[in-house]
Amino acid sequence: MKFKLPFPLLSKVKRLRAIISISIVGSFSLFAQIGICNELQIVVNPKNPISIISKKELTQIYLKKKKFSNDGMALIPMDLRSNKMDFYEGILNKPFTLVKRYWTRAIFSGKGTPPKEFRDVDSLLKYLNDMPGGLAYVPEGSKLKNLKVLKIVP
Amino acid sequence: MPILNQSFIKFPSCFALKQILYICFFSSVLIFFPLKKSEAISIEDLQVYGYLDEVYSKSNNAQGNKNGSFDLAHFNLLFDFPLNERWIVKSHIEFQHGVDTERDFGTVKIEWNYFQHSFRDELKTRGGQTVTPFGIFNEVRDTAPAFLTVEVPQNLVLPATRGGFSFYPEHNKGFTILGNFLGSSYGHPDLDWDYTFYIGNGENRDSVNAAQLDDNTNKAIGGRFQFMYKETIQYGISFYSGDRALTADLDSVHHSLGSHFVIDNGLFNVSIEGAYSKFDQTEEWGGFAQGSFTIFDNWFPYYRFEFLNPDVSVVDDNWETHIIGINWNRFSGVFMKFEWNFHDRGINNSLVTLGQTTFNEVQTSISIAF
Repeated sequence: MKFKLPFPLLSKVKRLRAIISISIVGSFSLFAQIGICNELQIVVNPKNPISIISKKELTQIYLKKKKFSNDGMALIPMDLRSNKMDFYEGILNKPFTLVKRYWTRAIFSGKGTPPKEFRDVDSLLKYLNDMPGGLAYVPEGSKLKNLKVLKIVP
Repeated sequence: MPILNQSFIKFPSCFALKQILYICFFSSVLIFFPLKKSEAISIEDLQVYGYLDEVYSKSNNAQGNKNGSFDLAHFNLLFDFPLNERWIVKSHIEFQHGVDTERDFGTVKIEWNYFQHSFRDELKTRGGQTVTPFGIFNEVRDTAPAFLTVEVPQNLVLPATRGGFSFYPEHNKGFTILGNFLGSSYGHPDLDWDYTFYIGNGENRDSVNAAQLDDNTNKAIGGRFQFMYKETIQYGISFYSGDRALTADLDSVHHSLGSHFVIDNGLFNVSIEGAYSKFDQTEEWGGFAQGSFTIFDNWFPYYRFEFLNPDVSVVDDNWETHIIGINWNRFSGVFMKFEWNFHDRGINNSLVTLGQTTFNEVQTSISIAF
């Protein structure tokens, strides 16, 4: 006996169309995500001796678990409001909601406060120039004066 | 040959020895970790945070809030003033229950007020008043945006509201050393750990301000050690040991030990904590288990079971609480909570009146962090 569903199913053609549409939208989202990640670069003050940084170390610095470099320099991470979510989700692979929860708990237990946040690239770069231990992410193509771009390794 | 007279060689008492050890300890910290040149940070780096929460609660009988009431529970302000990248002054002021000093309503108090000097990640010192680091919740205590439920587990954090006594003083007035070790720097990339060790005035009689002077003969010490595996599993142990003045001339010993375990992968969270305490001749123990998960990114249903045995020597005085609720993170910084509490007490619990051992309570709140 053939089982009949109480509601009409999509025809084969429509199903095929739906699958193709989902694939296109999905792949577009995936590549768009990768594109966003590639558009950000990590920059530091030239006085900072490091030139390569791992994602794990970057995460530790941005969550302020690592506040000092191995040679004792204070590390000062900075956030750029417009690219904040792209950075945490795309580069650090941390869900942004989790990061917000982490900071809510840290602030109200006295453990620490989130990185200083800047509204625009110019003010961030100006601040970074004055901070030897400063570290920030900026969109590729930003005008960098006397700043060093770090290579990120997995 | 003269006989060696014991009075010529006077060994320091245990108490004096403790004091010498404390002084040596803090001196060595300063000697071995000298100050480094710091870069100046401007006053623009002053950071101000705060939160407020309003709670509505109603119970089904006189054991709770039978009429149903709105409570402007907290309006708190937090200030972080970095003097430079190594020194910071932190302050947290609490205005509780719509404080009105003219009519002696509510309270204003300092939750913490201390300076911190960071030598390195592995070693920081704090001086002043801090919230006692013990277990999962004491440091967040009243800060409603930082936890899921309407209140933190009262059986461990405020056992007096469950017929017991405090496992540890709410605040420590003294010195703290703390630090965190990142496993990646030590060849164990998945294992991080942190520690806190403190010394302070401990517990005084209610009439004596422990932030000003100590009315017991010994200093209180305590600490907490926590291990974190893959940023998902956490295990910690806490301890507290001190004297508490019962009268001007009589102290009594107070020891506590706690342990906690947390699994949090972002989607679900399981937290378990237990504590044991002995004050004078009274033994108390309690604990809780809480589970929660995340749905639609910002809804967090939860369940918690709390248990407290306020005095091991008394039969049928336990207090058990079941809490079922949901926390909705409406948008950034705004949390709405709704929960049902069921309380079940032994007939000999000191807070049971009218023979009513059980009661139901509905609580709802809105917490806003800014």
